[in-house]
Amino acid sequence: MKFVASAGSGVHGVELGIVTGLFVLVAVLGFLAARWRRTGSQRDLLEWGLGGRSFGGFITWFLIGGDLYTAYTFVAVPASLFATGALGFFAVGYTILVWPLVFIFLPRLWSVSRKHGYVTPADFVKGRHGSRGLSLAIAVTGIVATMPYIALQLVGIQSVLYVMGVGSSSSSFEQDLPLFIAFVILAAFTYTSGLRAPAIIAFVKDLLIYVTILVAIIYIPMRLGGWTHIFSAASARLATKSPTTHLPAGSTLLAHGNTLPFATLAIGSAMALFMYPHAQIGVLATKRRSTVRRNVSALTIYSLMLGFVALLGYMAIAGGFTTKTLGNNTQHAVPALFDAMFPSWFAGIALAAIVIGALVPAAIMSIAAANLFTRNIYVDFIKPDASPKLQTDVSKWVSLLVKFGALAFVLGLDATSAINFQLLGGVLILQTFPAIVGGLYTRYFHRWALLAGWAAGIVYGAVVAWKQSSATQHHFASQVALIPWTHQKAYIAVTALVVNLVVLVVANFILRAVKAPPGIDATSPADYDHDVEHEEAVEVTAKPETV
Amino acid sequence: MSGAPTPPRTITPLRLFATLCVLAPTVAVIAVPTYNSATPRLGGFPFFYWYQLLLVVLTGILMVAAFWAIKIDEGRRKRFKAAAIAAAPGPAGDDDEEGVAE
Repeated sequence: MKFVASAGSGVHGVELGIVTGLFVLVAVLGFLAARWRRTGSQRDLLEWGLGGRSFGGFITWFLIGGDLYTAYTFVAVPASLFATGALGFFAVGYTILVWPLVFIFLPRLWSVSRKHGYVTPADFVKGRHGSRGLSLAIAVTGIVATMPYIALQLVGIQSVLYVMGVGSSSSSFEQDLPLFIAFVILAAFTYTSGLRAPAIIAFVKDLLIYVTILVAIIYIPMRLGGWTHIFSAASARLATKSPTTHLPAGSTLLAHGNTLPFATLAIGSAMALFMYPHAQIGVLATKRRSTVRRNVSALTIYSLMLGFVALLGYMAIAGGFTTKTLGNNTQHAVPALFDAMFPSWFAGIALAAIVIGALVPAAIMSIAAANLFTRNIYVDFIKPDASPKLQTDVSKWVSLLVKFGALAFVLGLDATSAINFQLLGGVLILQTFPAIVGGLYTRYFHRWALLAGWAAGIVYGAVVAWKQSSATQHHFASQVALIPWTHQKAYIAVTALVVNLVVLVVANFILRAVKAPPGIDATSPADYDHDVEHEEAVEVTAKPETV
Repeated sequence: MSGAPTPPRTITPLRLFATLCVLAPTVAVIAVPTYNSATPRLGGFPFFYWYQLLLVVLTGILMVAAFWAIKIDEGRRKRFKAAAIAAAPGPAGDDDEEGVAE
């Protein structure tokens, strides 16, 4: 059964028309969002950068979901199953593990941030550990890890454009122009509306994505001859030995030695996720402490959806696609599958879902990175007396800068390097876990010990990740590497975290022994259970302003 | 529910229940060898796949249970504290019984 159609040949008019139409709709919503649910002065960073911290359960569900399940998820997770099989399915285990973790520690972060007006995780670290240096380390890690993540959203859009025949033009200017236009519009509405824009667009995004996925998991297996056939086709293809390496590409069950990589990828990714500033932003923007916990159960619906999205990779195999027919880029698997399977009007909707799915996280990520820069670099080190208005302005401009940096990244380098840097970003961001999550529970660890552990984890993780090579890639070829002195592989981020923790404990012991100054803790134990209900809602100073 | 209210302890059955609800999915995911198998199949899905998808649904249910357990527990603590303040003569206020861990 072959369905391989015309991936990358000629412009697909109907699809392009629908994608453009939906994109325009979303852009208009993005600009209108500036006037939506305004609670205070637009000049305040809490307004622009955290949506006035006014979001209730319903919006939060869309915002966090829209934030975490990015265009890249929709493209890369199935691509990973397409290329290697069962190991790629760790993404489901990872999104299961995320929710218990969120349930445990995020209410504490919410409480202490609300009590002290923290906008970023680095704000909290500074307040808790009394260390600008440690806070700077957290902020820089956050920005460095987020940048390639934004770039990857563009890779997601690029793969859709490629499949619609827009990206296949020989002229490179023509090829990049649609991406450029999409990004200018994204940058403009993020600038004017702040976090409110992605919050509103997330509704449209999720509606399109849920419709697409529901149809895809019913309709495509019907056309391909059922799930049994899909799994056996995938199994057969993955078992085929590669002519260059003489090894099978993978299998639909975990091969011997892949158990620990699978488990550590799931745990490490889950622990890393809410260290990303863009993930925390959705939590800090909520109205009440209980909003997030209440939401966790409903957020698992996204995890279920991700599980089915992942299986689209196997459907692409069963549909007859090979790496070669995908233009030597497995990232095209899902867009190409949609293009080949669906009638063109529905393919247009499905592809629009991916493109719009890129806009929401890209906007939130750029806001998060901008907030980090403003609060923890600009105010802390450059201009301590910056007014709230100036802080907001700086954040807005930095959000533009960050996005165009990501654009330059994708246009200047290739998509592969964006993916490599994103993998590296996961390794780096996990190293902030002890300072942030540890800090939520204890002041036992000395600020300099946390900094030493962070540095050790970063250096170890970056070096090991860089050294991974394969037949096709010299560096960053794998997320898993041998644990030193063993024959067992594990996710590099987790091994680096162990290095981080060992250094942390040893350094902590020494620093406490020599009685190094521990720094001032601005928080008190009760702050971690703080809720606005007790305090007659100081935050909700509803004075609608027309500017 | 009779007589003077007893102060809530740090570990209550409700909190223990919530902890178990949160730990169970974590343990289930980490125990990879228990589900790395093709059989039993369900609707064409190998066990490895349908089990994990089922686990997502179960996690959602357990999180609802944990949320309500914590909510009821916190409600009881709040009521006890309010009752204690109302009953106590003299300057009531800052006896922070609530400062216990989550």
